[in-house]
Amino acid sequence: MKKELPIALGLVAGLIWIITTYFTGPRWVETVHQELSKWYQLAGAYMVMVGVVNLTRVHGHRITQKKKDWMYSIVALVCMFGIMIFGIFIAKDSNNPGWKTFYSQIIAPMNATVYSTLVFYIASAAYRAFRIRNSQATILLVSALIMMLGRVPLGAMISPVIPQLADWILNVPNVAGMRGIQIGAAFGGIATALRVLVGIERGYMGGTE
Amino acid sequence: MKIVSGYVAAFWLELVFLVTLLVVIARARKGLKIPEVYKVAGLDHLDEAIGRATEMGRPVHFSPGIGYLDNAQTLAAFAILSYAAKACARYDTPIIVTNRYSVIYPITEGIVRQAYLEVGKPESFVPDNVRFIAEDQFAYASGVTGIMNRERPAANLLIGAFWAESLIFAEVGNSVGSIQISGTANTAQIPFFVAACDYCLIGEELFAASAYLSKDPVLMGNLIAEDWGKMVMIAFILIGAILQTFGNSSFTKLLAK
Amino acid sequence: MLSKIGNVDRRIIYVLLCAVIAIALIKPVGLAIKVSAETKKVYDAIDRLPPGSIVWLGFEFDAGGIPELMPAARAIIRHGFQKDIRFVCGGMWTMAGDMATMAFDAVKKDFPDKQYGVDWVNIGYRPGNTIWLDQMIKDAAAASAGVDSYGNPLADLPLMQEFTGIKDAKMMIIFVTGTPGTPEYIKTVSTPYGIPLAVSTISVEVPGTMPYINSGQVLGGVLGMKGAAEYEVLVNKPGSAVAGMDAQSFAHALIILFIILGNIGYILEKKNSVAK
Repeated sequence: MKKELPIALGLVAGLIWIITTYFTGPRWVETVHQELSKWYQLAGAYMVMVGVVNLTRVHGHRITQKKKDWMYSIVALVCMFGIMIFGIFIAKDSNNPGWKTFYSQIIAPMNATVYSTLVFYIASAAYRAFRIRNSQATILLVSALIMMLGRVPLGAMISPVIPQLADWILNVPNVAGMRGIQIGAAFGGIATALRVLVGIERGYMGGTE
Repeated sequence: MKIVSGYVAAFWLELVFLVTLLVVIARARKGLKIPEVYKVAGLDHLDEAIGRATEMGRPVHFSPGIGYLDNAQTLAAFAILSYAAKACARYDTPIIVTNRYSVIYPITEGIVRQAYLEVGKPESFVPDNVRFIAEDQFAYASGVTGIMNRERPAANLLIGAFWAESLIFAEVGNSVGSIQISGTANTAQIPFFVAACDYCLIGEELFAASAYLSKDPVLMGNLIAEDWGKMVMIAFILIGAILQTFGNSSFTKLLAK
Repeated sequence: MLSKIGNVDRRIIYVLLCAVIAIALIKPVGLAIKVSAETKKVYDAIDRLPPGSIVWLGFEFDAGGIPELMPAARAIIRHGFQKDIRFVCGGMWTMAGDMATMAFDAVKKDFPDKQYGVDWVNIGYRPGNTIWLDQMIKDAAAASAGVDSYGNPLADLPLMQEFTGIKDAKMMIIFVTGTPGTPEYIKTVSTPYGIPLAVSTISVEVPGTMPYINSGQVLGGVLGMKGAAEYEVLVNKPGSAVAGMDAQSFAHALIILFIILGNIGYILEKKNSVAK
């Protein structure tokens, strides 16, 4: 029953969602679709609570057992509940200036900082990966050089042919490859979704096979 | 009741695909012969990567990506996590699992716990090795790279839905000397993984993993249905390209309905 | 020595890259920018819209996307205001409202006659991903809890009398860094409702966006910082993207230099090992 009930619920909800997404006409289709959308949002919010309870349990256990680095668990719990208390009792809605300041002055710059480190990783990965080891690696290297030059004004300054070649790579071999991957991945995604829907794939139950 | 405009061709194609999938699964359940599946280097080398970690006495790191539970790639990653955790349990090699979502955290913990149980070593399971890092994308990225630098995993398994953090993980993994196996269906990140990792599961190979690793005939049946689907798509592309070349757009319009 | 050419410490690469980018940003040389077909298609599509048309702007990015997407957003809004286009914006990313505010704040000082609520409305971020987008198509008020990003009731804003949902938009332009992004808009809005979609994306997403542009599902693209710089040129207002193209050019040149050095080291090392 522990396994069958979630699978049955998932199957029924999934089928209703598929039908109301693909079909239109009667008013009930629209109503059911909208209602299920709200349920999805509510279920998502409820899932956050599941996460909060689980984190409290795990970190609480670490603190009471004085496990290695237990003091970091205190930091994690203080941050989690601190933000929660601020949001529910002080800020109350997402337009609160406190929230906005917190997000735009702390979270956003930190995110931008980590994101911008990517440029360094791109440089070191390119330096390490683009070696003329064999014919395939050489093709990869030549395409990379053309793209790097062709997508910046420097390429056109060297030769007007470079941007044209870069556009060709982007529009022909790239699109062909991307479409192949996208079509294959789409079928893989649909098949995985169906396996979950009919209960063949149960990994999301956390290994309760 | 009618089909939404723009979804007509997609609906019928998906319906035919789903029926094919169910037929193939039914045939597989009856024990009918399933064709061979081609070698997927990334999956074949999973054991080798875990074996290397065992020899070096260093842990294995697994990230199921940053996709939520409604992402098929995350679900596909669970199957690979289960396989990797069982192999680690057999060799007594620690497996560190880093999670972005607090909701996914108990699921991966359950998968790893179950893996230790299945190989008969429940006492070897270390709950602290399955970790929740942060729900924010780049906070998660920072946390994971910190763990990689401190615990220096010998094998780095990056399998699931990844976005901008993909190359950050792969480059840090490389700098600590990990053998790296990655897999994602996010097309923008595949080039990064291909360039920076030792092996990469590209697109659908990620979804094929559960079938490939388990050799379960029902799951293998899925792959056959997917191949049929792709063959139909190839035929459609050829028909569309030929007709369009001769100025006939009726087929393209039919598919766009 | 040979192994050093083929195996330069990554920290040296990082320091040099940082220096090159900084110098180019501080002292730009102004390399010539040629407008691509993809950017021109977006420009022409906005140009063709009758004055007064409403365009939906999807701010589907956060702080990480600012360097590439903010210049594009500013240039597109500038172009729209020049053509008397009105905008309603929002998004599925948590910083959608802030990103929209940042973009409009930068442009509105050049258009003193344009007013908030009349010429543009910022609905901001709402949770729910594609579920929210799906609701936004027909009933913006219900999907947004009846208020904009600043807490103003939507019913009080004149523009919202003409905009009941995205279905009322003549065109959608989205600024994207990842998921939710282009496929979600194609699947949820542009395919079933036939609303033209243009995309402005970060460079990393360009290869994945090209199939959609190629198939016509997306009418055109302002692709990466290059696209943003091209749009700035088209609206005669060179900004941070045009300046950024110099930095990008020199950064690429430096990476190419290291790739060449790496390969020289690799070849010499290979020859050396064969000779041994």
